[in-house]
Amino acid sequence: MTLLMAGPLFITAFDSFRKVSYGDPGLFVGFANYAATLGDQRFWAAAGFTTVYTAAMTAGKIVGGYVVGLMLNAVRAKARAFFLGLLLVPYVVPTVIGALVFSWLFNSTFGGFVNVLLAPLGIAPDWFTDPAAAKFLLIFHSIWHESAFGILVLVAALQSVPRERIEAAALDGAGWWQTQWRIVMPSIRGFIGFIALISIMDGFRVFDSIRMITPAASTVGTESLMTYVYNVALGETQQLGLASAINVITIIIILIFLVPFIRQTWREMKSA
Amino acid sequence: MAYIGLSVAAFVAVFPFVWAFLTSIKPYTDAFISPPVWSFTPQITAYEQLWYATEFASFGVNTIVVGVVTVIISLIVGAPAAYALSRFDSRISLWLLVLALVFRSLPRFVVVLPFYSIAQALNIYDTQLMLIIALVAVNQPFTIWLLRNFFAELPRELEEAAQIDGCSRFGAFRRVIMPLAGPGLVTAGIFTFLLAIQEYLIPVVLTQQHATTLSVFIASFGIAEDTALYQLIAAASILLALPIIALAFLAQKFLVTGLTGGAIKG
Repeated sequence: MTLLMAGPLFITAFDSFRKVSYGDPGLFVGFANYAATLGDQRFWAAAGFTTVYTAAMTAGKIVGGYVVGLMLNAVRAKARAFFLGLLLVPYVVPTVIGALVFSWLFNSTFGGFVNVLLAPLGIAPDWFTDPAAAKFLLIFHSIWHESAFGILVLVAALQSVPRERIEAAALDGAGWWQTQWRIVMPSIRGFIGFIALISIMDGFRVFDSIRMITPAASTVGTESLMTYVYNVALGETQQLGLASAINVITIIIILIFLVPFIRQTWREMKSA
Repeated sequence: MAYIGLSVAAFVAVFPFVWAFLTSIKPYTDAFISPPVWSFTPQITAYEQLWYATEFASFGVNTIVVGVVTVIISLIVGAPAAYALSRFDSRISLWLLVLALVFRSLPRFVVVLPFYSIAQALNIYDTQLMLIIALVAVNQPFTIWLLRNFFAELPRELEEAAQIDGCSRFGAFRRVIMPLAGPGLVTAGIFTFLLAIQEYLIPVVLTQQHATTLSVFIASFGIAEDTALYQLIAAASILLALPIIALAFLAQKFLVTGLTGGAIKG
């Protein structure tokens, strides 16, 4: 089982040092693939957008999840299950399908629903060719698509905050904001960290939605590390070695971001 | 207040699907006008065409077969492994958590590109076998972690009692533990099935036409810029989304546990 995952990981690392395509024996080239990647403007653009995308999605998911989580905890259990069911929909439907139908709301071919709404404000962005609008659209989609996860975790987290502490704070004269900021937030920090952890891992791997919403990603600045790998490995060229090097670099970036979270989880589990 | 806020959030969540549904039942002349038309005569032409003129049905069957087999293999392999891990001391399960997290965070391409090369070499490219192997490999760490949490909650005394009564170690696992682990298995099963259906990158790289799943089928039409097909895609999206949406309501309890990955119970 582990072999099924560790094997490909090993092959990827091995290939990253070779100039190789499918079915040819390949040639050992040392760090040439890494040098080529790090010297490529397109790589840095993709890495930059992926980082911004991940950060915005993570923040949106946590804020959205917190707000909706508070509201869900304020309604009756039956209503909670009903709303939760609806809120789960974007998350459980296949990403490519969700991205497609989501993008139609912004597409004038399909009636341009959102631009009709925006018309009174005097703005009519071209969502699919204007780089800034396209980036915003992708980030907005990611929050629409993934908020359910933040909501699920935070609903449970908020229920775990002892009621006595909130009541005690109220007795001491703390306002609503103060209570949230000083009492609730600190006691659910671990859950927020968990959402951030999963979100960072998923954000750096984003592929499906970009492929659906902006198929020509490199021309509108919405290319992610993974759509870039796709083009290098299977699209424009078939450079398996180069693609493997980009994969290894992506893994290293993800790991760097993950280390603090893994250490925190580790400490919490050890003390638990 | 909370009800108004939740209604707005829920509306935003499902509206794109409502829109796609409207697109699928509008007459062709009304479907692609801006600003949108709200009154029209609904029709089901798109659904008829989808069913009779495309391979939607056969890809649908393939998707279900791949999903079900992936679930069965994942559980057969995952359950004993998860059980064994739940009975080790906590230090090892800490490492397992880290390992599962690291594997979960690996970019799909790290797995898919080597599998693509291997599939070409072994001549099993574009087969259900290859697709299922890749899906199991990718989902397994998480399945095992999820099941481990369920098994860890069952008291050890249960199987000790069974062993005293003459069961073998495996017999105790099969007769005593497995029946009690029902909810855990259902959760892991639903979750694995959903992941198999949702997956796009793996089938799009590893299949071409024989073993293709519905996600890939719909996506390939979605990228092709052919207005004539758009209503069919809308219809196909709705047909694929509906059963999954039903699941979100009927199996909510299991889904919630699966999606949060036992994080809440820890």
